[in-house]
Amino acid sequence: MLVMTTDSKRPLSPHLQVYRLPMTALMSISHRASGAVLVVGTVMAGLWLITAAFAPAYFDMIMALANTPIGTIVMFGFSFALYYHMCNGIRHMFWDLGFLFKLKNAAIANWVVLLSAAALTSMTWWCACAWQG
Amino acid sequence: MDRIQSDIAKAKGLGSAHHGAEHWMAQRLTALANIPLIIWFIYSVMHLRGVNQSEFVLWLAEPVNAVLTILLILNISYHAVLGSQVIVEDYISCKVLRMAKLIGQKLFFIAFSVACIFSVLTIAL
Ligand code: HEM
Repeated sequence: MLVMTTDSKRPLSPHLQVYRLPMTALMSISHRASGAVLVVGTVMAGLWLITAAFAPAYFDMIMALANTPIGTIVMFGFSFALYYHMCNGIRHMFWDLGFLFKLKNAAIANWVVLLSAAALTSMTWWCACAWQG
Repeated sequence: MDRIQSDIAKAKGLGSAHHGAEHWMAQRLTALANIPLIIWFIYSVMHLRGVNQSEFVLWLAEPVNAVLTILLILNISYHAVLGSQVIVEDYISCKVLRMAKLIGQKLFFIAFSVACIFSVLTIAL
């Protein structure tokens, strides 16, 4: 009978409950997660657009909701998800061209993607607040 | 399809899924087109913060904004259909449920994008 112990030299399958995912794997699943979040965001934005044409009162209600603290947090979350997905999507396309596969470069790209997304999100909100006056 | 596939891939056949290259390429093309469109969209939303319905209508009635909004709707919808298709294919193994979800998603996004585009046209024309 096979006994699996932690000091066994046999390779372990990356079982999600017992295996700590490396950062590249976390970033990979986050691309999918952010994509799913953005689908929800797209539908919400679409409803917003439809109300502008056919239900003006609801449009103004949505705008008021978006300006509440919770609405602002939700918008902030969507903006980060969008920037993250965009930056990581650009990295995906570098992969498709054959670049960024070496472990070291993949590790650097993790941080480039995360920091770019964070910087773009901060910049966006900083400008949005400044423009609103 | 044959233009995207490599010779060796053609010789070996299409693999267990029997498709894929077109889907993969379309996901990339829509991703690429999404970049400028999304940057424009975020920039616009930043300016539209706090507008009421009549101010929004004025903005959307501008031809440039109406055209870019329609392009955005088309491109995101296509990208989202392709993207959610892969997610469903990966996680839903029951054939009937998977088919229902895939068809449902497509129909939803068609209805959704037509409704959005119709709204833009109603305002802009
Ligand atoms: C801003 C520009 C965007 C870029 C550069 C981009 C890029 C990409 C790329 C390259 C992929 C393929 C990933 C893979 O093969 O695993 C992808 C997948 C996906 N994208 Fe986007 N995308 C963008 C915007 C969006 C938006 C606005 C949505 C919302 C509808 C979205 C939803 C998705 C979904 C659901 C997937 C599938 C995720 C998966 O297969 O795990 N994307 N995106």
